[in-house]
Amino acid sequence: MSVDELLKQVASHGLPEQPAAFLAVPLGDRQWTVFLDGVRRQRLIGFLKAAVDAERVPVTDGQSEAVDELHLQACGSMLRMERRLLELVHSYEAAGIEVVVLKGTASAHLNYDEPSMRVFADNDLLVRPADFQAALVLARRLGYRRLVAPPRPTFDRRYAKGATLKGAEGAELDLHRNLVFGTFGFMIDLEELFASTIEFQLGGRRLRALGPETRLLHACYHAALGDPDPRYSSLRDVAQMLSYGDHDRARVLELVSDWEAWAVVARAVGLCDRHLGVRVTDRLVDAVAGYKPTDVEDRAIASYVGENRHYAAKVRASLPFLPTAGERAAFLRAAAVPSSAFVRSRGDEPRAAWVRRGVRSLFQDRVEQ
Amino acid sequence: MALSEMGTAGSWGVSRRWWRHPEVLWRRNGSRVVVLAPGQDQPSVLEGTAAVVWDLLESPIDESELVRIIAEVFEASTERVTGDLQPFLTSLSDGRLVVDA
Repeated sequence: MSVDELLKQVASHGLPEQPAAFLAVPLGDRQWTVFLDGVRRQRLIGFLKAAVDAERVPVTDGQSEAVDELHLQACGSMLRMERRLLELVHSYEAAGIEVVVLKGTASAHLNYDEPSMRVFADNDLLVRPADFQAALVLARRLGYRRLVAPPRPTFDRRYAKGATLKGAEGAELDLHRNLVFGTFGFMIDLEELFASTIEFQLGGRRLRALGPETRLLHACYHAALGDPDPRYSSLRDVAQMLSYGDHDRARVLELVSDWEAWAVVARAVGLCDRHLGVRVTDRLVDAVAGYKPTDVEDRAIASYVGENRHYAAKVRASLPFLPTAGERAAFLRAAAVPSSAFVRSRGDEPRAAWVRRGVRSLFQDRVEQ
Repeated sequence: MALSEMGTAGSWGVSRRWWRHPEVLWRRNGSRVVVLAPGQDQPSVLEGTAAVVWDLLESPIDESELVRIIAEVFEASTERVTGDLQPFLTSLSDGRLVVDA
């Protein structure tokens, strides 16, 4: 069995339809090192710990200790991350800014019986578009700095997925105003994300998370569009929710239809099948079985996970998702024509050079095709 | 709290009730429990009997009941468990990991 196959089996540990058998004997030292590196990269240490404890993965005493230690470190790291999350939520609520916890913490506490299974490395918060600027200002006051400036202020207000910020101790915060940049993100009803939230308890506070239906769809967006080779932990989230989630199946289908997310969900489900080797049964899976994406959807997906998955490709692929010529023009200007302030923040290069490069990058691939 | 104030298991008139501090963050690491007290940035690890006590503190529980269960599970005398448990609960309380419910 290859290391990658074992990683996939670990990622599917605890799902209804697991592969029949893991290893017969412990891995040798060299393979174990490669395997453990993969476990770290794929954020699977929680699943590996559970699989070892359940005697699904045979290990030597030394390997068992290494798993314990790695998981212990991950637990400590997640707790510190959650402490920072609570501080952030407290500050935002005190400032009257509604926040919804996304991904890591919310997934660990709501999707899994045992939160220590789901390891994460940053905090993700969703704010309303109208609050996004204020949320950024407050984050800066709390010691977070933004890693990449937006090309124009309008971009943040109307089009950005969000911003990645780093705290004083290196802790990362992803502040979202949408679940996806451009393309499929334009179709998401951002009000629905807030309207259907649920609460969960953490450290004596009640935090808001996406409801089961929107949480499942967010996991699909992340798995399908987040990376050409999505982490197995991201795929596991999708498989976990499809297998054990308490979502309203009919409501999920309504949202997929309203948000025109069939291609996204079909890709996410397909990736679960291909990478985890897990076939989950759910009405959603049946509904997307055999779905053929349109050319526009194909281009949109390729702009995230294809070979030319750069910013300009995403901007270009987004245009068909905007309903009017005026909106397309406004989006292009915000996304491709940087403000003077942005140009000044990036060095001495004249603004005209940035504009020329931005416009050229939008059309370059098309010309080459 | 002094031992005399707690009395001995089985004969206490009024037993203190303990509970996890609601602001504690924690994770299970196999049979161990990793805890992070409010206001702290350095987690602690509870193992063995300490981890069992943590599980029992999920909801408010009388100290006498705690002693009885621990004595039964670990087949130890209630006197001995009381002697061990009292300083442990005090340290958890001092570290803001548990509260007197």
